[in-house]
Amino acid sequence: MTEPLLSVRDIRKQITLHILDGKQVSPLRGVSFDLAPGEFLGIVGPSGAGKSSLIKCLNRTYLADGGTANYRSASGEIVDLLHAPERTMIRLRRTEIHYVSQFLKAPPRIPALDVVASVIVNRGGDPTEARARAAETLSALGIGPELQSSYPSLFSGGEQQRVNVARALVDPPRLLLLDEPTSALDAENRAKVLEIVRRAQANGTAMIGIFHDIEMLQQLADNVIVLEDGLVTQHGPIGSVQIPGYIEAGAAEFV
Amino acid sequence: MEALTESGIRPPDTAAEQPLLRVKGLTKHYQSASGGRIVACEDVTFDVYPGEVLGIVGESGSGKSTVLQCLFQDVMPTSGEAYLSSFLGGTRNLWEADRRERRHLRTHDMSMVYQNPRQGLNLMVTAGGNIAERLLAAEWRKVADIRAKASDYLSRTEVPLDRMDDFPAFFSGGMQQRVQIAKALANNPALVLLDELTTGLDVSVQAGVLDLVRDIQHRLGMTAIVVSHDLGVIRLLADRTLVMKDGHVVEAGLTDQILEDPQHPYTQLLVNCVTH
Amino acid sequence: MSSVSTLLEDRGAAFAGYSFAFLDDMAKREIRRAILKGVAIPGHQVPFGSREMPIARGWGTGGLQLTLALVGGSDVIKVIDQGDDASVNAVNLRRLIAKTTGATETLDTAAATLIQTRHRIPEEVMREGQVLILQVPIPEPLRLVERSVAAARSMHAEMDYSRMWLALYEDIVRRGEVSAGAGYPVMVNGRFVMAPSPIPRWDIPKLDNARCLFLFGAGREKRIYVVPPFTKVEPLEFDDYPFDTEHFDGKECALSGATNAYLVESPTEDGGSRWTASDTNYADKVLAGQEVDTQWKR
Repeated sequence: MTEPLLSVRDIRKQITLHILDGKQVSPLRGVSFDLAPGEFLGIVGPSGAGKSSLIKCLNRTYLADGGTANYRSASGEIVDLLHAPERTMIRLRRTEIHYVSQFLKAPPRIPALDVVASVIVNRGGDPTEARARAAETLSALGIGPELQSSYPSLFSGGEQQRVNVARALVDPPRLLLLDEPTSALDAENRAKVLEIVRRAQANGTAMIGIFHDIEMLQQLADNVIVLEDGLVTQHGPIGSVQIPGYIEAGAAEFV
Repeated sequence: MEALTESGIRPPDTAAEQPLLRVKGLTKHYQSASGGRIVACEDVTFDVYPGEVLGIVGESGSGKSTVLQCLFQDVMPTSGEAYLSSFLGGTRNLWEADRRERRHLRTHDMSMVYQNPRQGLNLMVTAGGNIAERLLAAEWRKVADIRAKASDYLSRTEVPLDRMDDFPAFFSGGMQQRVQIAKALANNPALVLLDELTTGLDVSVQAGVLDLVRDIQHRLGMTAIVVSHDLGVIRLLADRTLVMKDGHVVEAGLTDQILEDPQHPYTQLLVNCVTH
Repeated sequence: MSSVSTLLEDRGAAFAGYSFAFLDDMAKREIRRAILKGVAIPGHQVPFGSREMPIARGWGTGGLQLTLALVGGSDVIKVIDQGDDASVNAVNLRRLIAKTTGATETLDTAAATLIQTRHRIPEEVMREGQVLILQVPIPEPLRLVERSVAAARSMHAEMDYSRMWLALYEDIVRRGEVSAGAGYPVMVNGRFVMAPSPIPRWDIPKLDNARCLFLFGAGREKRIYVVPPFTKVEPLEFDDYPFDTEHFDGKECALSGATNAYLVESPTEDGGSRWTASDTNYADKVLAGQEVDTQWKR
């Protein structure tokens, strides 16, 4: 048994909404799991179950209120993603952990090609080579040269999502956190994403992904977690887990 | 630069990373007309690391500009310590430096871009001359070299070179701000302080100035503190952010965490004001 | 000294009752102390309590107070105004000094022990032991770039001259050269930027490493400063815009034929103009065929 890449124990998240008279919500009430190197872990559950909160806690976009998430970095050091210094998180995000949100948050007024290439440049890569690889990745996702030179803020939702995926996979990281990256895509483009994610998998990238689309999940995930009301109700190989009915219903909303 | 591992990925170990600037317990009190004490900022503590942009966000009167003014020696704090690794080996509290050291600090180690270009520029000295001033302080004594360097900075900040020998008094606000940024880059200061740099500019001009700063940050790896009341500016430029209210730091964290998971009631209010 | 009262009697009743050299002893002592401090810190402006003089401020009261504080009965004094010993102001100052002290008057640069001057340094090289006292209207070289006296003083203290350099840069950008004609700023002993008084550029190189003592007195501004003998004095210059003096392109003095002299243009009756040496004593010597050493720099 290899050492897990990520070992999550008892993550808790509570949000106090001061502007709503201190109303409290608890999206995560103690979530634990291990992720092996190269494993794809799918997360499913009804909306409000805490799926996005879990991913955001691992990325430190949310501050967890309890638990640990011990990540084994490229240099072999164990880093608790929930408590590591901010500077460590910034560095890990730049070099080995990438988070793909549902919506593209690209800086404005930068062409799509450069948005994608900047990932490699920020890791110290050569700008010319970065742009070549960015062009290749975007093309593989159906974003042609004309779109590549325009600003993503002018793109459709589906095009923006593909730029987002391209950013994540132009230089596959060690750990990829995916938060519904294909929710606005049609079947044809989902297939393109599927193809490029598989390439990253083959390259050894471990992933934790939220997908509404059961087909994507079945084709990619090694294991699945079912989250309900902030707790893990099932965890196992994709074939052994009872996927609740709302997954496919949810996907239908988008297709 | 830290060493790269065989995989070409920088090690995440932060133990080796030393802050460029350490600020401890910065406090500035003013005396009110009636003799009472006005707190401009109180016990502000933070670090800035090489190559990063630290945001400080808060409404006017929160003390965020006072922090910059104290760092740039425009205002002397009531108490506190600050150490800049490039300045006398990081051993001297900036606020205990003598006048000559402080001048060196202002002309070599740091630069400031003020909200009002009048503060940062001499409007009756040519655009090139404004940049030359910092180079002259660093003992540049060849006009041709000074002009070549000033042209370089002005073109980086997209100021047309045929305006180099004109007075900034006759420039647009956006162009004045570009000249101020060019001046701030002269002598490659270790730390650049940006105080509300887009406030007061037209929205279209704001975008250009922000793009410029971001571009320079990416290309030159500039270390900066960006003070703004505008969360949009902070979101665009800052890696980490401090939230200030009534002179105190009420929250500090990664910028996306501050925006998506604000902890303090004031930050929640601030973030919601932007979204709605 | 009994000889002093005798001298005063000899000089006529008009000066009876005045102190020797007009100034009271306390004033002289203060000025001498300021001079000593100035010698110790070359180029540094030393404040002094400028006294009321029997001439108006702006007419050389600073220079006159320095002269009167130093002059003794055995001194030989010369006063020049823009190089001219015979101007009304020069003559009056010289008479005042002589009458109140018994010092000998001269027009001869070489013979003088003390020379008070406005706007010129003599062409003839001054030697050890001679003193040149320059009248100064504006002693602060930073006045143009900093209006606040206090701020200018701290700029000197911190050797913060970047704005002075900036003014020179701006001059070059706008005019293609540093336009300062008279009173070109100099760096003294590598430490203080100094206003050399409104002497022409022609005279600036004479200040460097000279054998005589240069004293500068500003009566209205109440400042004394000094360039002691053998002190390094350099004009502020950029590497690629070196300092240069005026050129007279082969012109010669219309009266004496002198060529190695600072020439001034004056109108003639026929509507034209002529060039003459501004240093009248030098012109006289050249006219008389005397050998005059003008090589200040060696």
